[in-house]
Amino acid sequence: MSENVDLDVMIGGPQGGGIESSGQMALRVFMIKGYDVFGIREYHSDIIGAHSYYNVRVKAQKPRSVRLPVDALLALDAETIFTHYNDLAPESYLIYGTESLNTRIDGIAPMDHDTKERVKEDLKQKGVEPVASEVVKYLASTGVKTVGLPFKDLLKVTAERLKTTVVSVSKTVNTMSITALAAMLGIDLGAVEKSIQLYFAGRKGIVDSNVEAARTTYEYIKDNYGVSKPLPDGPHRNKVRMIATGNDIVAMAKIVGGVTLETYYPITPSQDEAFYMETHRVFDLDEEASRSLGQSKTGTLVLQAEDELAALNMAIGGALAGARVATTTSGPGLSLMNEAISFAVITETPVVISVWMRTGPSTGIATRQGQQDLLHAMFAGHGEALPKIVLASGDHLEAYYDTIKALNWAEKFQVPVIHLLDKYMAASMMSFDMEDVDPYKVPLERGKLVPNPDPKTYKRYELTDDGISPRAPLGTVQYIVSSLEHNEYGVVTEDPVIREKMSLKRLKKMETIEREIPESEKAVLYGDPDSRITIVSWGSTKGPILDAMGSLAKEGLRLRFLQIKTFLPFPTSTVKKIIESSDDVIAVENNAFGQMVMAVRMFTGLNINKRIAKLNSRSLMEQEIYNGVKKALSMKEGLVVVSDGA
Amino acid sequence: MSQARSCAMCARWRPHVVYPFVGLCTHWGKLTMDTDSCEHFTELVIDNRGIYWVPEMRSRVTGEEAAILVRRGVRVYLGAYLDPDVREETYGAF
Amino acid sequence: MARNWMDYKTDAWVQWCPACGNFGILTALQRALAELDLPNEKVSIVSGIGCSSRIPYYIKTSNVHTLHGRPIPVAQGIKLANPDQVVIVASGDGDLLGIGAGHFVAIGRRNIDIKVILHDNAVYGLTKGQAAPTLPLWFKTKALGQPNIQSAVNPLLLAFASGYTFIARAYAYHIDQLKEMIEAAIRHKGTSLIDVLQPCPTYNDIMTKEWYEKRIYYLDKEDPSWNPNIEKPEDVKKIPKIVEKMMEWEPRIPLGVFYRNTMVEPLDVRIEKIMPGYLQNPPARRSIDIGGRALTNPFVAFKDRIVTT
Repeated sequence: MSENVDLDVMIGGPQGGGIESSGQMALRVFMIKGYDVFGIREYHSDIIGAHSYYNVRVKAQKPRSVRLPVDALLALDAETIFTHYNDLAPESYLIYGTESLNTRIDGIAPMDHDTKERVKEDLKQKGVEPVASEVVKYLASTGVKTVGLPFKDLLKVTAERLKTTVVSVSKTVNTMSITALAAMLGIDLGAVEKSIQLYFAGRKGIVDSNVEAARTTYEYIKDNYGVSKPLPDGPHRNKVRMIATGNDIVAMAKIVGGVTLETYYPITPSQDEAFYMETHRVFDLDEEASRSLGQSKTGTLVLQAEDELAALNMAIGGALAGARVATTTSGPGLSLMNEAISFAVITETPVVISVWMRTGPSTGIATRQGQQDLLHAMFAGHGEALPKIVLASGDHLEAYYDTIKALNWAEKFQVPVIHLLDKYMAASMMSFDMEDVDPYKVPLERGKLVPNPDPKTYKRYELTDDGISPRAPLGTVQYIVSSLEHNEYGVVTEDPVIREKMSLKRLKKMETIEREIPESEKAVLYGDPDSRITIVSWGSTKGPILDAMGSLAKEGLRLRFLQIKTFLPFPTSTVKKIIESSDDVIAVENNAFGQMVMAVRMFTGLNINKRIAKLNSRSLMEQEIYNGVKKALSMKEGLVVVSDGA
Repeated sequence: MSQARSCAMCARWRPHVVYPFVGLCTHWGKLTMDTDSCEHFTELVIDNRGIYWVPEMRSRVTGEEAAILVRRGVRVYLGAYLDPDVREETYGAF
Repeated sequence: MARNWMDYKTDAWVQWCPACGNFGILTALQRALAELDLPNEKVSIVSGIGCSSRIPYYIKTSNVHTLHGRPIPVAQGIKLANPDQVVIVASGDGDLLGIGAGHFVAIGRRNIDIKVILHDNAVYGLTKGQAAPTLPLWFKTKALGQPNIQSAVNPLLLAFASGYTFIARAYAYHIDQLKEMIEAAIRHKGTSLIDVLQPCPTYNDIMTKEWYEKRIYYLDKEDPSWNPNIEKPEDVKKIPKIVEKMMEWEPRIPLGVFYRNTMVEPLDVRIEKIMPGYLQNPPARRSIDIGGRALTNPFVAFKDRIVTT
């Protein structure tokens, strides 16, 4: 029964050495087999050579997180074996290249010194020599099924069959690894071949050699390890689906959501969003739009700025001229954008800033997970830079709709919107269907945008009941925009009465935002609504929390989970109500100081005295919440630090 | 041809960064296997001022360091071969 | 009916010190706009922070007073979104060459059609006369606590190295000549710099009206054959002479158009090449929806992420 399938697979190797294509191919193999997938990349701040790995979870219906231990580890080099030998479940598979067997841990130059010493100590205690072959033997003794792939021999056979040289097929080693993994997991060769065709689409020679490599490997596995129990087909066969990273899906949402100008300065983990938009700067319109506009394509301009100061200020300039604009960055870039956020506030300029958080403080660990910019985002900008909106998405599909909503809210309320995302989402990918990314579900709204204002009466900063004034693009009517305090016409003033009115206008606008964004967009309750045990969290912890709640519910522990989605405006009444009606409240965050807990205290006056924090910069996993919740419930109060992941 | 005069031992050969049994022959301008060989075999002579690639260490060393490594039996090369499609495999790292 | 320079005046009180060079720049700019007969709303003057950056309030066009150092990015955003807008950056030497120097360089690489008017008085007026990036080494104005131990940057050379395609220097009190340079810059399609030397009677007691007027001369007056235009490949032969003139400072300071290169594609032409339709439907004007309905569907626009199972 495919409903019972719940597989975790890990693929590790040197960065730049085929991890990415192996991971991508593996995800496609499982999708073609009819499953939903969720995959995460973990990698070093390095271009080529350091250790990176993919975690892939496979389920019939939407996995939302990954887990340890894994059911199969594909080790493309010895460092992977040394890094992850403790992550294998009993009766799991270790697939490795026989070339790496002789490698000693001390001979692996890229491996982190601290990691090496820790691994050596652990192996010493287990009585295992720090040589790859010995670790493999040790794993075999614990019940792991070890599968050695003689790549050179397999390449020779593949070459002979294609009547070509070994060299010309040498790039098929990734396919061989994936095929071996598939064969051990009981996946048919057909699914592998189809994924090859999909992944190398349009490159005929490459498809042929990879298909032959897959066949050779499949036979090798069958001959040496027998036939595994077949994996049943999942429920999603014969469908047109998609797989995308969080970066991809936000880029898609920006294009669908009508962004006509995106500016950025390259920073991890945001850059792939801008890259994807650049690649798709000219895009096809759907049938109705083609007919209506009389053209089949249109475009979104993406410009790489010289720094984040320029990126946001350019976006603001574009918005002043009437474009729907956005920019993308990470924590360090948000630091540089602070002054311009304040500028956007006083000039009432709509702009969406996607902030892909990573590990800080300072440069921290650029390629790893963190949720440390919550308070930074809320307090971004000097001089009471309010109103603004701070929105945090919990997963890919939420991020898609939230991006479109953020674009709408920015224009409707004429404020900067900081959309908090993170490395976990940026570098993870999930499968989904057409109905999951409905482009028409959230209608595009531009608020009080007036394309043809009356020059005689127009006042850009007119005082209104809701604090929002008519917005005419620069160039349609003569008026001035100022970063200084100004009157209704935008003209600078130090008059105390007008200054006070403008302060109250901004305050009123925040009240309008609080009123008009429905409570259901501010916070969402999951799980058993009547439970008196509540997890409160925000952002990408949602997936591991929901998956862990499923496992805990099977054991009879029914929880509810309050996901805070907007921090400005804050869902004060909901959070208050939920906390006050709980016996146990546990906060989950990827930061040390409990930034969400501080925000909750600030707005509600209530404290959350149990916290689960992940601080090692790796992706939060299901079992960590599962174990963390149990531990937190056994305590009166305090901090549970969860530490899985390599 | 004997193993001692194979591509793997040739000064004109650049091993693949990740799979060192494949490499680029700079004489023929094409990929060969480490065990291939031809009449243009050239002995590698370490130049103290040179820079060398050490596959085992996945790192570059100076000529002086290379000479020490060679005496210890470590293979060094004048360079490494980087797959032209390698950017499809890399990640944003800063 | 053609516009008069008075049509570009606002009723705001001009708050500069008496005899400030900014008055000359303001008048020249208003007159240039009038002679080009540009509709008020179709011009955007974008400034940073400083005395000169108050200029947006005194010219009746669609202006933006931005942050310290950031007028160039904001101006580019406007121009990228709406290439039909005439966009002028007017800001000080501290703003453009100090805190905003990175943008001053980057805009040149783009050759985007924006005119940068550098109000160059070599001091920070609003914070009481500190040395700006164009104050020469060892100058000690009365306003300084100690002599200037940092050397001056050469705005013309910096612009030239950055890729500006129109580079001129003017003197704030020579309104007619400055007006003509502004008009020439607006007519030129590409990133333009006019470095306007400007006495600050309050804080710069060294580089005074008298100091400047002893030194300045016009390139084309001195040498009637002076021709700054680079229009064909062989014109690059003129560049050593142009650079030599850009470097000249003491005892004489040349004014005029130093360099006008019409062989470099401006940014909008470059964008049109990679995104056909940009000029016709630029970001500020292209439709994003049909009555609230998005124009595309991920499964139509992003086929590279599709997996057929």
